[in-house]
Amino acid sequence: MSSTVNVFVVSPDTRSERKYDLGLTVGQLKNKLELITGVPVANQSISIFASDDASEPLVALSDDNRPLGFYGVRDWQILKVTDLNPATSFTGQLTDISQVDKFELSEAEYVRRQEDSVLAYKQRHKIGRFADKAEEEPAQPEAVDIPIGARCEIETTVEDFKKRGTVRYVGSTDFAKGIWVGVEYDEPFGKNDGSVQGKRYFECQANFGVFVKPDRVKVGDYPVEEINLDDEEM
Amino acid sequence: MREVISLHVGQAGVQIGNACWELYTLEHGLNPDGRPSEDSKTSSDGGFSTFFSETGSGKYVPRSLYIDLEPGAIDEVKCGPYRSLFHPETMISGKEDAANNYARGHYTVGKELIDPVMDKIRRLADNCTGLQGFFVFHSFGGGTGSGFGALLMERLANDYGKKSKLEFCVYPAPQLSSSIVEPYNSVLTTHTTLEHSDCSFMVDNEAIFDICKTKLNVAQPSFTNLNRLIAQVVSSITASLRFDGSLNVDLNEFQTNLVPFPRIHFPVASFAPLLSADKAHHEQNSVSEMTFSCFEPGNQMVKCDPREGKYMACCLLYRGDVVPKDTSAAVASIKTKKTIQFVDWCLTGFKLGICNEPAACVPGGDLAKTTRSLCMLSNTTAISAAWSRLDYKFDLLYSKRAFVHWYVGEGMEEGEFSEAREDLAALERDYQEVGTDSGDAEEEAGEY
Repeated sequence: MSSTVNVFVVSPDTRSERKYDLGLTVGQLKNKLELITGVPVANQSISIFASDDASEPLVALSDDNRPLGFYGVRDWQILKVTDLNPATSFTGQLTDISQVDKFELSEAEYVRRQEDSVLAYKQRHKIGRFADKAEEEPAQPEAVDIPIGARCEIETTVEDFKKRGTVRYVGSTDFAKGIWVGVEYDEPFGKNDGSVQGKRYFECQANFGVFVKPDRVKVGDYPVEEINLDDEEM
Repeated sequence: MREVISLHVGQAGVQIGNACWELYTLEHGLNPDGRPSEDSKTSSDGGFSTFFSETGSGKYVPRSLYIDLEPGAIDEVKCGPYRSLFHPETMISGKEDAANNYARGHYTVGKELIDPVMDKIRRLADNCTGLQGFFVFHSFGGGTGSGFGALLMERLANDYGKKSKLEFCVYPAPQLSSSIVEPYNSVLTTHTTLEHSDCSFMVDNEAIFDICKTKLNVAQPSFTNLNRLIAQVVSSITASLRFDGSLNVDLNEFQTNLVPFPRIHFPVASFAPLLSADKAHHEQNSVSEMTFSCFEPGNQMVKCDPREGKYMACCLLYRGDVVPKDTSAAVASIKTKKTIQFVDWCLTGFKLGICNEPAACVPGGDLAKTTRSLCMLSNTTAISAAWSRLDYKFDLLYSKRAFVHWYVGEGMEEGEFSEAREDLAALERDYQEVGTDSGDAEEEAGEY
């Protein structure tokens, strides 16, 4: 068995501890280092440093045909790989994650993953917020007189701002205890499309639907408010 | 007998294996050649035959298999001080490396080696009277560790069905990648093994590196230093399987508590005391101190902040001179801390075990010899930050399709990248869902 050397390989995007055979030629080493550092073989320039803090290299591995042993590389030295032509490679472009938007699964896509997701597991086994709450619930249902299809207005915390819409659902739900009123707003003031946590209660466009407690719903003759965007032309 | 077979895959898996078996032999009074040392008490203690098999000649052989696609790391074992501990047939190496490429480890190169490996595993399994399961050691970042590790997990699931499969994984360091394609390899291997692993203990090299540097005063930690520390954690986790004892709680029982949902099976390990060898005599190291230390992020084997998540379960594995009274008192005072939050639907909370056998100490090692120690395994939603970090790095690479041709060139379909990444995105969602308490839903002015 020929002798080996333990070194730290440092490149613009990576750092790792590696063990190499001293008989390996610089050319062979470069092939291995491309897969580690991402720096293409043709762009690589390799120098040996005594430590991380050393400012001057001990030696440059300049001849591709020479073996590593020729350069007197010793254990725990730093093998520094630089990219001579980063314009032709990915070097330096692979650390700043702010360049891209992180991929996230939407609520709807997550809900669709029924076979193994935690959400599906919780629903199936009635855990946490899906647990049966029948026993702690008072037996008599709240008396609610809100007809489906009625026009309504929902109070908000902002004064003089009321959201209008149409009642689409009245009854109990899987997402929380008690009676809930599902409303389709006239404008996209809502939070959903008629479904919550994967269960559909009524159909409407995304963000037009909302569920509120019955005491916040005022039923009456509330026509659709014209939001006139053409004011200035009148 | 409830035997456990340890499978060490790739350079990291093999080197961690070296550190683990070094420690196991010390703890069970075996010499490096597998024979009991003179003052050893092994013959009277049957517990450790879960990990060792006895040969006719009075020698003990690890129930292990070393596998690497390239010869380097295994050749070193064959020439090292423990060369006669292992059965030569339990060290399998190929000639062609995986070149840091999951696709080579999983498809092209790995394919050549998997059948002989499964044959060897069959032989090891046939030598057991009641095989309990497998421990698979591998890295996420390397080509063999990620690719072949995943292939092995798939085949184990196929051939050994319900036998438990636990993993010890080296997770990429948060700051510096050890190779440029590490995020690809990690996401791909996690996706493939997610449904096959029952429980995966992750260690990240940066967390271990920092512990070695700041707490154990090692100036320039190398893999040997890191792996010895990892071995201490592994030893604590497996101690309950290797030693008998009345207060001993079986690993299976911990596992039941730790994994509330099949996919959420990545507990964070913490260890205490982390004392450098020269400080041993200056510290009290009470049970209460150890317990509190394990809740410090600096004692964790993975970098994440548990104060930003919620716990599902906490298992405390005490070793050595520890009495139940002290452990209950320590836990009672931990429970009063506001920063330690549990998800509200979880009934389990804390589970304690005591193994009376103290941890051994490697001569010349960095860690002080102490009479007692603690390894905490906690399932916390905080670890999802580690996944998020990794996923984000994957996205940066994949947005440029950087190096994807290396994988496609090894016969992998590009669709596997997006499929794996989606699965990991779902895993992040899973952690969010776990953290969503029954109560959380009722806020926001009572709207849905």
